[in-house]
Amino acid sequence: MIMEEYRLYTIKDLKDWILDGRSNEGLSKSIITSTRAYSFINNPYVTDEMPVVSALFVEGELAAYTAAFPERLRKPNCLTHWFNSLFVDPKYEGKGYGMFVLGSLMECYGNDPVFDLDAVDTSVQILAYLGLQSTSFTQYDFRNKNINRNSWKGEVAFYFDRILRARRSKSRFLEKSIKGSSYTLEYDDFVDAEAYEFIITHSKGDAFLREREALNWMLRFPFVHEAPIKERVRSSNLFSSAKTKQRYFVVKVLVKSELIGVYVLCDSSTRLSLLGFYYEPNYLDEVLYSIVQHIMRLDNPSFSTTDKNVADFIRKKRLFLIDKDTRPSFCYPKEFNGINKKQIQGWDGDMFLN
Amino acid sequence: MNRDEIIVRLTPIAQNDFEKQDMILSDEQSSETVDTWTSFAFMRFLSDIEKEFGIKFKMMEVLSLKTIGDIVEAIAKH
Repeated sequence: MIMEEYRLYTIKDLKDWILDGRSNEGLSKSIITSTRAYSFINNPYVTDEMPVVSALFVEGELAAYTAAFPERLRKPNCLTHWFNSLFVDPKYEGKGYGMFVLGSLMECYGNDPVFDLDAVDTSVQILAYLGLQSTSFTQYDFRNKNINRNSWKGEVAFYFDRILRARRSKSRFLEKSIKGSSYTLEYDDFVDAEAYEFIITHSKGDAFLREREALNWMLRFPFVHEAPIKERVRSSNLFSSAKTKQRYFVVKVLVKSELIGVYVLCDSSTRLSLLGFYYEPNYLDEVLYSIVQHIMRLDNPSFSTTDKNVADFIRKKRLFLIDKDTRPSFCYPKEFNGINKKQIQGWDGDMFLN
Repeated sequence: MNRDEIIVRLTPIAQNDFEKQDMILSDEQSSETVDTWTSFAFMRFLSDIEKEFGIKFKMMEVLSLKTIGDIVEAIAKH
């Protein structure tokens, strides 16, 4: 007889473990990283009793786990739970353990809708079984270079990229266009009342609209932590995430003290990501040029956005050597069917936090 | 519903979901013995059972479904 043990961990369990150092029924960094647990604890919508992690042990060994965090969305107006990690030890595949940890956590949330953005294939299949619909959204990824220099193609791409980057940084056309744009910038590390008001007004086509407190929680408590010597970081968790650099900028774009755009940039060692993106349609070019200016100045190896306007503009300006559209999955309850044709922002779900 | 009736209705579902047209069901069959019994196939199987028999498995119940025998027993209980 195989000994299976199922455990649900609440926010109180995470607090006991992370803040008070009390050992708790198998809770460990293998199930949830301390950074992610600390973020969960500080989520403005949690209660001590709320289950957020489920794990299954077989003969005392961790076999599967998943986690979800709650959020009271402004649009659609509901308390929801975002699933954000699912792991099944390959040696236990086919036993329904993934379905069990996901499904039993979902059962705890009763009628609250659950969503999963950027879901892995296994989650999509399980959530479909549990009654969720799935669709996909477009993420536009741009890269500067082909990292693999082992082949002659990689080598050519590398040198071509060097030329392109040099050309880009000295592009008179771009410089002239940017200089010709009369915008000014303001930076914050949180979303203030003015920026949030602008976001509300300019988010009509969006699938989701978060409350300001949720945005500021995410800016303050991402799942990723910085680690200067990343290659030496010890990790026992598949979803652990350390980057040598990860910082956020809330950018306000103004023309003559009038706010014409608000967006958030995540500047990490691997990429520059455009998270929320809101603009006054009459000033779209100015806002786009301000993004281009950040791309040029920060010079990250890659850039990503979910906004087609931004992607088309960057493509047109030939800022990157390689671009690729990806189609991450998006799972939602069927009563939210209309949501799948709307704009997904780069900060929706847990994408902000990773 | 008795076991035999369940087996009769379950067999074509299993043959289809585990992609084995000549599969003959026995109580001991599980992910250990059926090579096409993957996570996805198992989920598809449970989903099709729910549709065929008009039942819904609870998660704690799913965890106890290891073999065809367990599944037949669970269907009979619903």
